[in-house]
Parts: sequence; C-alpha cells; structure tokens
Amino acid sequence: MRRRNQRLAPALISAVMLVAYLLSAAPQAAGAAAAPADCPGRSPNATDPGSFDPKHHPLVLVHGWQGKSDSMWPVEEGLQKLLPDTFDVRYFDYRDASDQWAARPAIASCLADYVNEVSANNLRDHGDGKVYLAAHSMGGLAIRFASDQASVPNPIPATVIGGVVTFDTPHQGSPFGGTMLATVAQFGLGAFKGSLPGENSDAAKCLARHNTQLALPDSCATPPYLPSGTRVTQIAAANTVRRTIFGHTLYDLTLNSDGVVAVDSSHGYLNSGPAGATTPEGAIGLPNVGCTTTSDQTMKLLKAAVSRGNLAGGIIKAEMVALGQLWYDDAVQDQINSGKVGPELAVMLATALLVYPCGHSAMLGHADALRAAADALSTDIEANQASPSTGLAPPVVKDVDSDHQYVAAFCRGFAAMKAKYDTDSSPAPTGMTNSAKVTSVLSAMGALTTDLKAFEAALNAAPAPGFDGASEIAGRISAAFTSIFASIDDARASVEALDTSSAEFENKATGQLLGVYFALLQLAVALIDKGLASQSGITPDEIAIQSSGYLGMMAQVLEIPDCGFLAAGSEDEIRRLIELAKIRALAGENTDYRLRSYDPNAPMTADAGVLTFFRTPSGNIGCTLNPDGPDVICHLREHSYPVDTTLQPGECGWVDQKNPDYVVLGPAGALAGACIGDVAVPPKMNTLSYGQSITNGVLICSSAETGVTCKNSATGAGFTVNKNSFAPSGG
Amino acid sequence: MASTHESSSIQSILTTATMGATAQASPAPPFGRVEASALGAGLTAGNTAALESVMVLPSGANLSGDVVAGLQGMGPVDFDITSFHDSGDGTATVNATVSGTTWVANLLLVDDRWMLVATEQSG
Repeated sequence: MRRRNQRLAPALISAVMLVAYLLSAAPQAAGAAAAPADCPGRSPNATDPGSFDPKHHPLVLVHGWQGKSDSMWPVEEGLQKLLPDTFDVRYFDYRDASDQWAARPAIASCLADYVNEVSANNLRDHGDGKVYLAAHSMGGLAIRFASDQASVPNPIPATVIGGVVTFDTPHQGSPFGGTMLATVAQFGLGAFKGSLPGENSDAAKCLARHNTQLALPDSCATPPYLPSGTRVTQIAAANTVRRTIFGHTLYDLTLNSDGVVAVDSSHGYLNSGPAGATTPEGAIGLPNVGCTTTSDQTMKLLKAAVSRGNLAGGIIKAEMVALGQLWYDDAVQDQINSGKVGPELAVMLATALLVYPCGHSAMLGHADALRAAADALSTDIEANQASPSTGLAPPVVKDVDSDHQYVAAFCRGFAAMKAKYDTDSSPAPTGMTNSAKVTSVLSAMGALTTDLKAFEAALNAAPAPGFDGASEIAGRISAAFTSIFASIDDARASVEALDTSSAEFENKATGQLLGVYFALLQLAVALIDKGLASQSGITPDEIAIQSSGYLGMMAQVLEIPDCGFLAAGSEDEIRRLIELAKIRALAGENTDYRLRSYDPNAPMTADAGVLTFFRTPSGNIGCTLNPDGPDVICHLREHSYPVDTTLQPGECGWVDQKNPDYVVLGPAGALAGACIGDVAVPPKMNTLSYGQSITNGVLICSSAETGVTCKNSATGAGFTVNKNSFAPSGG
Repeated sequence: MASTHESSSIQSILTTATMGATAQASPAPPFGRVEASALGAGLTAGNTAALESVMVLPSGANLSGDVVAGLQGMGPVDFDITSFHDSGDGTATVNATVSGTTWVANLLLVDDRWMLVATEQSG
C-alpha cells in the first residue's frame, strides 16, 4: 500500500489544474473512429500493481487533468479510515500527459492496461480480480474511455470493474470558460499564474456543456458509456452562499456547483453518452454533498487567501459586488445550467472553487464525499459478493438504483446538527423570538412539502411520446434530489436558529424534521415507482418490492447511531414508525434481494442471519422467516378461518385492528391476525415445493398440500395454516 | 429593493472590479458620525425601504418580514468610526458592535455613499 509523507499540495493548486483541464485538453486524440492506439508507456509515478492480500480488494485511484496521483491521497486516507482492512490501493498517474484529453492513449490506453494488470495480479494472488475505481474530475471520463473497445485496444472488461466512484466528474461538461476563465485568471493570483490555458483552447470545446441531445464538436470524442451493468456512484458538490448581516440570515443563493462542475453534470452520466448509444443499465448512486457558506465566512476566507498571496485583492471587492447583485432566481440558475456565466456569477463560482469547503478540489478531502464514496464502495463489494447459495440468480439491475446514500448523508447532516446542539450551551441569538423561529422552520418545511408534491405530480404525469425511461428518470431523480437537498439545507438552517433548550424545539422542530425525512423517502418511492413503471418487463409486484426497499431504509437509518436522536420525540411514535418500516422492509429488506431476478424453480436454501422468503406452490401462502426475531410471518391471499381482530389494551397501539391476512409466530407464540398494516411478505418469491422444508436458525417451515407448518425449535411453539384453518401448537 | 439607478451603479462597480481597476477618480467620502448613525438607523428601522437605503441588495430581492424584523430586534448598531479604513478601491471596513459582539462591516461605495454589503464577526 502506498504511503506518503509529504503534505498535500494546497487545494488551490489542484483547482488550478482542474481549471486548466477544463479548458485546454487537446481534442485531436478524440477521434472515436480512429483505431485505438496502445499505451506509449506507463508513467513511472504510478504505483506498481504489485501483489495483493486476498482479503483485500484492489482500489485504483485516478486523478484529474494536470493533476498528480498525490492529489488523490485524501481519498485513500479517508477510505482507509472508513473502511479499514478493505482495500489495497493503487494510484494511476498520467502527469506526463496530463494536459491531454482523456481519450488519448497516454491516458485511456495506459489506464486500461494498468487496471487489467492490477486485476490479473489480484487473481494471481487468489482475489476475485475485481477492481474498484475512484476518480476525480476528468479521471472519471478516462475510466469511461478505458473500458471502451472502440477507444482502447485492451479495454477493461465489464467483469473486472467492481464499481466506479466519481468525484465531481464533468460527465456533461462544464460552464467553465469565457467570462469565468477570465475571472479566475484575474483573481487567481500566484497559484494560477501561468497555469491557465488560452480562452479559446480546444479543450474548451471538448468540455463544453453536452448531453445526449447536445453533441460535442466533431473533433471531440464523446466519452462512451461504461459497460452496461457497471455500478456507478457520481458524487457531486453543491455550494450555497448564505448572505448574513450581523449574524442574521438575509437569503441563500444556491450555486448548484462546485465552482467548476454543476451538480447536474456531476450527476449526468446516464445522459452523457454518445448520440444513439443505448443507455446502460446498472446501479447508479447520486450522492450530493452540500455546503452552505455564509457571506461572513466568505469574506474571511477570501481575505485569508489574499493575505497569503494566493488571490488578488480585487476579488474581495468583486465578491462584495456580486453579493450585492445576485439574487437566487431563474436567471442565475439558467446561467449555471446553460454555461453562459455572467460576471457576477463567475466571481461567486470562482470563490467557491478557490476557498469553499465544497470546492472542486476540496471535495477529495470532504468528509461527506468520502463517506459517500465509502458507502458506495461497500455496497458495490456486497453486491459483487452476493452468494448464489440463496437459490436466487445473481442480481439483475433493472434501472437506476438510487441507493441509501441519500438517506445516510441526510442522516449524517442531522447527526452533525444534533452534535452541535449537544455541545453548544450558548444562549439563543437575540432578535427573533423562538416562536418566530419555529414559524420560520414551518414555513421552510411547507415550501419543501410543496416541492415534493410538485415533483411527484410531475412524475405521475403521462410520459411524452418517445419517453426514454432510463435516462429521463435518471435526470429527474438527479434534479429532484438536488432541489430537495437544497430545500433541506434551507430547513436545517432555519432549525439551527432555534433556541435548543426550548420545548418548542423538541416538540415542533424535531417533529417537522422527521416529517421532512419521511417525505423525502416517500418521494424516493414515487420516483422509483415511476422510473420502474416506464421500463418493460417489470411487473407491478416487482415495483412494489423495490418501493418497499426504500421504506426499509427507514428502519436502517432510524436504528443507526447517527440517527438515534430522531427518537427524541414521542417514543411510541418512533417505535411505531420503526416497526412499520421493519414490516414493510420485509418485502424488500435489502437491495440484493430486490434486484435479483426470480426463479420460482430454484432450490430453496437459507442463509444464516438473513431473512428467508418462500411461497407455496399454489401461491396462496407466502412466508418470511426472520432469524433475528426469531419470528415467522405468513400472508394468505385467501382464507376463511375465523380471526379475532379485536385489540387488547396496548396490544398494538398504532393500528385500528389486527390484520386478518397474516399469521405470526413470535415471542408470544402463534397468532392469527397481526399488528401490521401493510405488506409483510414479498408477492414474488421462490417456491417451497410440497414435501420440502426450510430452516433458518431455530425456525423451520414445511410446505404440504394440506398447508404450511412452522415451528420454533427452541420454544416448541408453532402453527399449521391453510386456506380454511389456522391451528397453533406447542409453546 | 435596489432601484434601477442603484443597480446600474453597482454594475458599473462590478465592471470596474473585474477589470482590475482600483484607482478612484475622486476622493472617497468620509464615514463619520452622521454616516454611521444613518447606516445604523437604516438597518434597524424595521422596514425594507430603509434597509435598502443603506445596504447593497440585489434588484428583485424580496426580503421576508422576519428578516427585517430580525434586524430591527438586534438592537442598536454602534459603529466605531475611528476604525474606518478606506481600501482605496471603492471598499472600506469599519468596526461595529451589536449587543456586545464586535463585527467588521464591509462597505461598498455606491453613488458616493458607503453602503453595507457584508459583516464578519471579529475574533
């Protein structure tokens, strides 16, 4: 494993490199029609592929334009802390060709050869040969070229790529150039001096804003898609400027950018391939790291940079003018999205790039970005290691899998807020009454709710003719989450102004935040429903399973330590929510399950410690064995046996009556009718043939033409159930 | 809300700033007791018009009533006019104290008047 002693180069240096990349990459190598050329020779600065610990996974880090592998050190450092004893890290380095376009052989072909050698060495050392890739900026585009047969002679095979994580990669180009380039050139004193390419350089053309509908110039090869099925996580950064006066917030200006790459470009992989190319399938993660920097902090950061000689003093005045000129409105967003950046916005973006914690280069060391990368890589590893012993076929990803990283990031944000409250004993700010602050929170939440409903309504609208499901939905999801997280940031800011010692905070603000949290997940469900519904070959049942997976995340998040404080409200209420989430989660408890294809004839086996699902050959009874309970829940589509649905005092607490469609075997023994209000069992699952049994922990169930019999071998309690009768036994 | 005239002036300042010019055509006006008093009064007057008369605000900005009320409720702003520093490029700083907290106020010269843009908490 590579170890470095030297300190990292200042982020500013990396930023300069990125800027240069965005503007001066040479396009002549782009020609997609030209025969792929071999790597002219690996950079001596790349780490030796070497040998591997078979317990570790290869992780190759790929830097951005005019960068060096050193710039990726924070990624290794962060991932080793978050995922210890997981990776053997290797650094690809193309510093000697780092002013070239990503398609050039010295980058793309060399990267392909390097990754292939890493894979081969890992296989030789008894690993699985899968290589995980994490890239910054143009490095992400280099991976796309390196895995494309038309671009390199020895592309990285799909089977080798364990997963790809991109940090602020301009999948759809960048608005950088023109006015903004001039702005950075003027104010980026010192580090930028002599590093900026010409304003009309070829790379400015190749990295212009583009997507599947807006082509790059003929001289620029559009980065190809990764092999279909590749798991891709695209980390984006969104900076927000909060204007404050004497500590009072006036308004926020959302830049939706890291200063160089807009969020929709960093998240734009699925809508960025060559014209006519088939949108790839694969699990797609779209984490968004948001930073809100106040004008107070901005002035301090700029003055510090000026005093160090990194920036020209004129940027302070320019930023002040921009602060006085820009208002968060459609005109500003149009500038960001179109790439036609006006002078005031150019100053603000340059400031974000140069000094903000979510600036383009700073993202490599940003805790939230690293955690998102760790979450993604961990999930990728789990997906790749999915065992066939479940009797289910390997995962088949149908469409965009907006994974739990959104929720995890959201949760961490709340945890950070809670930590602040736990340690901050300062009195409430003077000025607003607490009541006014709560009103402000409610107002922000109301606005967010409106946004959520609008998104949902838009998604439920009939798709236009020619609707391209995958890419369209991916784009909508990206846009939706970008907007939602911005709204959440607003809401969180409002909450942060509250007097935390007040009962109003506990009773109102926390409750509202929890409400937003659930609204967010509900929106995710709506988004995914719509996205899946647009795909062919997926039944409504499967859609329901996938939706339930998101509700399952609720349980996961609510039970992890970072989100434990959410239970600070009514304990009964939180318990109800957790139980509801758990029960719904049974239908899609993990992404592996819900993304698998279903083979009703596959032999049934159980994995220790995980849920097991089966159904009877008739399809009338479906059961879940939960070894952690331990408990069994069976759902009957049709039944005629009597069920007492009357509730005893305190028995369920949060449902009106027991659901007669379920029978349960739990700590209290076997009961017909359960305190559950929704689907407990996936509607589609493997069949347990008549005469067969399945065991999971102490639970054993048998299938017969006369019904299903389940038993807890530890307690002796059990039941037999069929369409016409329910009979508890033992216990 | 900033007037059209103000916006035009600010645009002119921006152009100057981004062109790198720093020299002033004429001496900047002072920031004395009268100016400080007017600035503090405008900030805490509790109405948007007064606020816009002393702060550089974007055209089209729509500050909420809570924001204006919040500034009004923060108490008097005491500017230390002896700390006023004209940077010579159309910007200046002056220290201010609000409810015992010391701030640096960043001022921008607009139409020959010093207007507030941003603040930084000292320390």
